[in-house]
Amino acid sequence: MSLYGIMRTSVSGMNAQANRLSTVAENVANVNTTGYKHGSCEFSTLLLSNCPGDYESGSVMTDVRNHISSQGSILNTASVTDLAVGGDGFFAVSDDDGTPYLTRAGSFVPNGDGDLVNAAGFRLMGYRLDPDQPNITVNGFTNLTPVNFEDLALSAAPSTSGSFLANLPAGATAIAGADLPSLNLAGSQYTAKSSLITYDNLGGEVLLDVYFSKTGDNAWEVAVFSADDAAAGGGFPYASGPVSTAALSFDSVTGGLAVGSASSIDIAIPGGQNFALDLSDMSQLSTSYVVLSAEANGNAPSGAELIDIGRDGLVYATYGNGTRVPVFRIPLAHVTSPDMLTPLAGNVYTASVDSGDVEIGFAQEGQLGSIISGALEQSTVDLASELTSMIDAQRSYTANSKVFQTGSELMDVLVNLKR
Amino acid sequence: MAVSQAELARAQVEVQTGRHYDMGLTLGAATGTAIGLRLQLSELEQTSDIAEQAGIRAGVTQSALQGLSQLATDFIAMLTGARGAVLGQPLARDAAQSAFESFASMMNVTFAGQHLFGGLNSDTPPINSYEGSTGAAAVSAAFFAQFGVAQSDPDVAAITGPDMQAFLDGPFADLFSQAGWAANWSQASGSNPLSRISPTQQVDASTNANAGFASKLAQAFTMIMALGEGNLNQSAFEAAVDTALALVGDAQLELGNEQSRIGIAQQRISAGVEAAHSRGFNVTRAIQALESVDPYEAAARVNTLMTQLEASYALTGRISRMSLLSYI
Amino acid sequence: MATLSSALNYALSGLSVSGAQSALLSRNVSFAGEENYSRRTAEIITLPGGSASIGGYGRSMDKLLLDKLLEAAGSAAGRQVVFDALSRLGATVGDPQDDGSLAAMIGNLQQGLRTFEADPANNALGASAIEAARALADKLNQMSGEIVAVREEADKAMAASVERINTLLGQFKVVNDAVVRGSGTAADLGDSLDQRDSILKMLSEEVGIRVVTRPNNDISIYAEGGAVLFEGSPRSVTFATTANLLNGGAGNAVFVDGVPVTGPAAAMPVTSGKLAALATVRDETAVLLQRQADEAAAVLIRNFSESDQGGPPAGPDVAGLFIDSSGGPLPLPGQTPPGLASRLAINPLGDPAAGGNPMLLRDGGFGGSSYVYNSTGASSFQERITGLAQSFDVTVSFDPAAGLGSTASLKSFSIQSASWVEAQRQGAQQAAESAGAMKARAGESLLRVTGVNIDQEMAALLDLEKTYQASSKIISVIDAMLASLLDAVR
Repeated sequence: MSLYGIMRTSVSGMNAQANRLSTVAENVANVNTTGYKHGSCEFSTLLLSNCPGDYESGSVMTDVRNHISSQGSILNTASVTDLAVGGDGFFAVSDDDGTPYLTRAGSFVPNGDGDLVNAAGFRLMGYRLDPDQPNITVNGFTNLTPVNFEDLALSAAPSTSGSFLANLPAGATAIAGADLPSLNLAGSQYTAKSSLITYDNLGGEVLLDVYFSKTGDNAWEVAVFSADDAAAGGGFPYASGPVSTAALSFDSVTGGLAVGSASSIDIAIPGGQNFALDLSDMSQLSTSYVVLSAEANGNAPSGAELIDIGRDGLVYATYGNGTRVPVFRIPLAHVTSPDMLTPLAGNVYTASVDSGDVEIGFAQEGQLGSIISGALEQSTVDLASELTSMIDAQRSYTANSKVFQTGSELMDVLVNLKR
Repeated sequence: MAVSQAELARAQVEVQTGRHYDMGLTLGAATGTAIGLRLQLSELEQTSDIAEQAGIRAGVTQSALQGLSQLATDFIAMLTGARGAVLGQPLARDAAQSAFESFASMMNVTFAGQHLFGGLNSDTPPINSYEGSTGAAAVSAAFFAQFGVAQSDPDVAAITGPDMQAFLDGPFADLFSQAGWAANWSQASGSNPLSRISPTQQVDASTNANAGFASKLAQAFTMIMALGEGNLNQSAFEAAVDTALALVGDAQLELGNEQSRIGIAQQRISAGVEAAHSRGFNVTRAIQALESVDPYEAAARVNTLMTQLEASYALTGRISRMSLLSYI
Repeated sequence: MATLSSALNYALSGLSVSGAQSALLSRNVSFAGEENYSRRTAEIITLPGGSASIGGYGRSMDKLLLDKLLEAAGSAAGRQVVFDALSRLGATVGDPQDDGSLAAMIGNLQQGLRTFEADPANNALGASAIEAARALADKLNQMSGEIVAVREEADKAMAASVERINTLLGQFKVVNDAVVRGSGTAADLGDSLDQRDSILKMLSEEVGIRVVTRPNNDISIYAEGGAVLFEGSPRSVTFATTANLLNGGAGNAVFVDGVPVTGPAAAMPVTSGKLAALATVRDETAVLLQRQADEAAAVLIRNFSESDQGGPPAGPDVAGLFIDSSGGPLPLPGQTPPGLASRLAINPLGDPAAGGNPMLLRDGGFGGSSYVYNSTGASSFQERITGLAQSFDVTVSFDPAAGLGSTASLKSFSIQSASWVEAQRQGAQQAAESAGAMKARAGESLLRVTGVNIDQEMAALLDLEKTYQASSKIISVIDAMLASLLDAVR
């Protein structure tokens, strides 16, 4: 039993409560900080070995905990680049030096360079999807680049594939061999004509005229021309022969393409790529000529006009011509023990020994959760519990000081024993 | 509501006129029938008008024939009296002269500016008066050729009865034969104009100056009037009178035939008029059946539509007043 | 995590959602009754963590009903056009009571001739028969003029329709691009979609269309028959107005994407919508009536023609009272020159107004002295007049291409022609009425799905008001709770 021990113990108690009050102060200060995870203090005893009948008081040890894994409530905003994570994942961000960090603070806005930065100035990192799928390193930040919309300026894609689905009239009169469009004569006849917009290498529109002509029972000829070559007012004769022709034969039982019939037609787009037009779903039934779908990929050169971010982290750019292309994919990072991450200024975290290594994945995979565009994760601080903690800490501190006072008075008594 | 209003306007017009609002639209393919019926109606009205006109014309012809018949009767009576009488010859001659003139004026009777006895040549008087006509000259020439003396020569008294008879049956009769008549006396056409009594039927309700009765009457009158000029001996005169009597008798018979033929035509005309009237009545009924609206039905329709419209108005008013707004 | 602070956040999200919803609602109410406005709805979703948010905007629409409406609109517009044109053509027949039809004119002439026949020496009756003949010729001229006017107007209307189609397709491109760009995002595309649907409706009135939806809510438009009107961008629709429609031939065709879609040479014909209807009016209905008028004129000329009365060798037949004013030869059966009705005229030799002699009608001799029928010069010569009057009832041969059989009398032919026009008109009216009713029904069905019901909106407003009140109440309660906690700190 030692009076000094009593005083030291109460001092440690006061220190502990002061620590606690510090976390409360920080929490209350960050009650409106986006992506802030509140901290709290856990205490543990530090005891001395005592012989029976004699007690030497120990002290209390403080352990500050950050509740990084807790989910803050998500509140929507008007900006598409405000992002929130609903789940366990973290945004991968980097500072000016390129050092990677994790964060949940997603109030990103483009900075002067076009990079998306949050309130603390960290850049959002993502995989660039252009032109191929990202090369993902599961356990590191390699290949990640800042998400930037500036350099999306112009993009054109030549057409490479498309599909044409229509019903050809089974009852049509066959066209005489000498009148077939493939011969490209002034009086060429055809059963049906369609046209399709495709794009050449530079994104220029190339209008393809597609002629379907019945050549006999269940047999059809497909002839494709470039509409630019058409005679004045459209139609035959074209300045140059067909770009491509194919023969289709249909099954008289099912009405679909017969086995062995051509099911697609390869068209060398003038100034463009080889364009494969899929005809495999064409039918020949006893009704009129009906187009059910006609599609071709590719787009004309145009600037990105709209950005939107899906829940899976894909960043889409929508071009002036309506084409919507994914340009970035925002990954989510994860560690085994998020609460053990080391918090740094600016709401960012870095992996520590205790937290485990960073793993990179994508939203909507496993526990990573989803990325919500146009929303922010609020601070997890609850004012009510902080205030109660504060009152509690104040009382505990006072109690510890009373113990110290008592010890001090006893010391006085002891000192005054010798006069 | 707009539909009802338009419908109401139509129904009101229908009630007023008693006919369909838009005839062509209502009748459709039956429009042709309606037009055809109306055509038929006006055609019937027109034919009955024409036929009535023809009837009047036939009536006038009949009365002219009646007059001629009377003239013949009077002439026979006169001749019979003059045959054996003293001064019979001059008497007969004067009578014959006036008879010829009346004959000519009767034959030249006109109806609406048309000469009834002209046949198709209705614009020229069919018979000229005797004096100065081609006929008179021809008679003189024939007389002189036969007897070597002129008609006015007192020597004609030397002509015997049989000689006169031979002349009358010979050269003189030739002057009045069909060819002689047309050449010397008549400007008429031998064909009659036809009168229409129905869109498809025509009747001959006329006669003309080329008919036998005319030439026979003229022959008889001329015979008495021009031959010898009152200086014939009794036997020659008697031969002339007898021949004239026979001719007038024949003419009377032929006149009777003509009159009855025209009478029959008149009957057909009036039957045609009758038929046109009754058919016109039927056609009118058919047109009405096709074109008119049942006035009661139309009136009922107007009422229904008005009720309907009023109901719609009331409903619209109610609905516009009915709103949750009033209860918030 | 349920805490007071998060409770505050939830209440806040509730407020903002109610705000957005009431904005939408007031829009719905202000556009109530607008035919092309579809009711908008907001999709409320719960974000992870539990707060509410607008996840996207919905628009009441039923593709099948819209397709049905487009189809009905095309057919109704087309049939109305046909009916309107036939009404104009029907006006040449008129009410039977007014005796304004061709048949009535023919009847008039016949009756004029009959009156003349009863009194052939009467000059005035001859002149009045000639007047009736002139009225008949005028009627045929006027009929022909009306037909050509209807055809020319149809031709012009086709040009206007084509121009409108091109304009609409241009507008469609803009709106469709906006839709494609915005689809897949949470943006409210309602306005663009409404506009796009309304353009489709307008387009379908001009020409029958089929709509194919592609990825990203992109729409391709095909004309009936399959010609491409819009796929990515508008295809050209071209038409040149026809210069000469008097010759009775078909007018120019409309080309869609280089394919003729109207007229006899149409490779992929359209059958509904104004364009197709106008082409039908121009190239079929009106042409048929023109043929009938031309046939009537040809038969008239033939019936009144004169044959050589002189001895052998007999000269050819020559035109009598009725002539082709362009001086064409006597039309042979089956070889009627197109537009003859417009050139039918009275021979000036018989026209007292032109110093002619109406008695030529009685005597013949329009063709010269050897064509005189009245050889004796009889003033009551009836035979020729009787023959002419009778000729209207004599069965002659007609070109079956006029659509009224191959033999008939002129009178019954003209009656049949009137019947034909009115029957066509009646049929067109019934078709137009039923198509109009179909369109109205399709519109109603669609409106039932897409339209705004003010009561429903108001009920929703009450709901919203309560939600808003509740959210604000929660906020004030939390505020009071925190205040009392703060009071505890001294």
